[in-house]
Amino acid sequence: MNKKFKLSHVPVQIFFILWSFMQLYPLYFMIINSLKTNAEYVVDTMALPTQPTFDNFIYAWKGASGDLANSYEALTISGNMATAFRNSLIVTVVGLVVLCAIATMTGYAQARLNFRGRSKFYTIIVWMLAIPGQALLIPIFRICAELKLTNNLIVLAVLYATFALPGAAITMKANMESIPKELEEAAALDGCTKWTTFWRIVLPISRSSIATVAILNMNYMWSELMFANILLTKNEMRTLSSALVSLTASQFNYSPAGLMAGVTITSVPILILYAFCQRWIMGSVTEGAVKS
Amino acid sequence: MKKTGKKGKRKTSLHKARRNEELMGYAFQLPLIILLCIFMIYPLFRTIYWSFTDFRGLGSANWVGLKNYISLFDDLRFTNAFKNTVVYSLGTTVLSCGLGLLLAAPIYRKIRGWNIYRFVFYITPMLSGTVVALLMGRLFNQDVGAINVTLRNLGLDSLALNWLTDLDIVMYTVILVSAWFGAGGAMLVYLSNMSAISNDVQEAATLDGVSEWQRFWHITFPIIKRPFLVVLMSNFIANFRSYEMINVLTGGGPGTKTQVLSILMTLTAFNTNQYGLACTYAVVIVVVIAILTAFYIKVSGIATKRV
Repeated sequence: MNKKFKLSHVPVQIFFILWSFMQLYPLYFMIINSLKTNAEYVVDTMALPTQPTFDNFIYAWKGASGDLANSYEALTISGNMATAFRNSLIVTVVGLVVLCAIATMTGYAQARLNFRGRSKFYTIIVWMLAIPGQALLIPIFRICAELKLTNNLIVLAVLYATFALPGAAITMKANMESIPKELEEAAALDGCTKWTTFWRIVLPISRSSIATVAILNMNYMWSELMFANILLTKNEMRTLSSALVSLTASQFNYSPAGLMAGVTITSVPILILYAFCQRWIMGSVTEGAVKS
Repeated sequence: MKKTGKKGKRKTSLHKARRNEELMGYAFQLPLIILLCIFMIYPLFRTIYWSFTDFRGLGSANWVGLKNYISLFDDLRFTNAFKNTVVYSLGTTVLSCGLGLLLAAPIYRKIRGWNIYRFVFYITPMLSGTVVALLMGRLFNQDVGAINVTLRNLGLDSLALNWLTDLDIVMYTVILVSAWFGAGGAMLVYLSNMSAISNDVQEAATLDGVSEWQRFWHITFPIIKRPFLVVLMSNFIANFRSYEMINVLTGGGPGTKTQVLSILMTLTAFNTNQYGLACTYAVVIVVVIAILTAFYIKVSGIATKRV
């Protein structure tokens, strides 16, 4: 509208520039310190690295081997972020696939199919929003321990999907209701059954809503901590958040610069995704906000 | 004869289609119901059951009736954690929603560089609580943290506080960090609601020579009042169950100064094996969240809204 310069905008601009700095500084801090040695980190965390080194990333990613395994630097970074990265990826992908599949089916049933008890089911789904995950932590841990299901990434993924399901199903229902009915009616006239209509017409149209659900829950699955920490006890099964926290757990085993490398490894995929799909992600968050 | 036969056949096929639709409805609902039953409803009942027992992880759970619940009243750890949870969630919610509004209003009015600002302000919410807490823990470090180093370099030594170790300050630090983390998300929700305001209204206001502040107060704010309440509530609910941020930033310390209910619950269960008592804490969390969510559902109208 009016992009003219206005004096009244100056305080706002100053506030915004300050706030931007506060948003960006932690990222800058993370990256410069991940390129330092621990000795350098301890002297000054704010200075640029004198000799940038990728060793922290290498140790954090692979763990140390050979001569390195005996050096001070390597001993302090025994994390294995490569495994954690893989584990987080498995959990996120499996969790999102389960979540999107079931949320889509539920959304379609709620929006378009007539069956007895439909609105009762919906009431149940909405009320599931009221149950916080942590209230279920203890029994779920016990059940998993009894059934030898701890350290199982698929169980964790399905668990995340379940916790996210009520919200996702509500979003999907709202989206499916906004698809024009005429399309399906036309398909029905052409002799399509409800099933083929769902498969051939509704699913392709709903791609963007499915993406919305995936985007809204991706971060949660990538970095959930509480359940991951309790259900994954073996080092080689940890996901990123729980691996990061375990890096800080031991006094002797703690390398600040190595930790910054781990934090960078965890955040960079998300940041890259954000940078490239900014519009899409913001659209999804907005849509999720309006709909629910 | 022929006609009625055809009609009858049609009726049965319609009937069949109706029945198929019904079956498909149940089939499509089934996976969700199964997952909810296994991972939410059944564990919830087990939590409630254990909260009435003295279960300690091994052996059998003995029914103790309301003993755990009655003990809450003079359980200092519980009252402390409950108070901390309320203070933390109130402080964080008010601050982050307020900041979110401050950020959203100028961006909505398309201040110079608004699209860059919008991108930058949503970077932090993209990161996870764990990552943010790990980073902020380093920045707020009392000795080598960037914040205190900068303050000392500026000669403001008296402001270089022991952010994460001083008993009187640590809760403010945690609230500050959480609010900073949550502001971007609130901003985005406000923006999406503001963009629903029609341009005509805004332009009419411009023609009438309404000041920027009056415009916000009399036009924009009334429209986002309800969304504002919704954001406030969903934020409060999320903060009330918050775990990652505080657990990684302070671990509930120093002492139990920032110990919130979810941290107390996990410690009670997994460090001291008092599963029964821990489940009682869990039930308290459920009850509070359920009441809040009931309000939230009412205000936001999710249950009844037809798009």
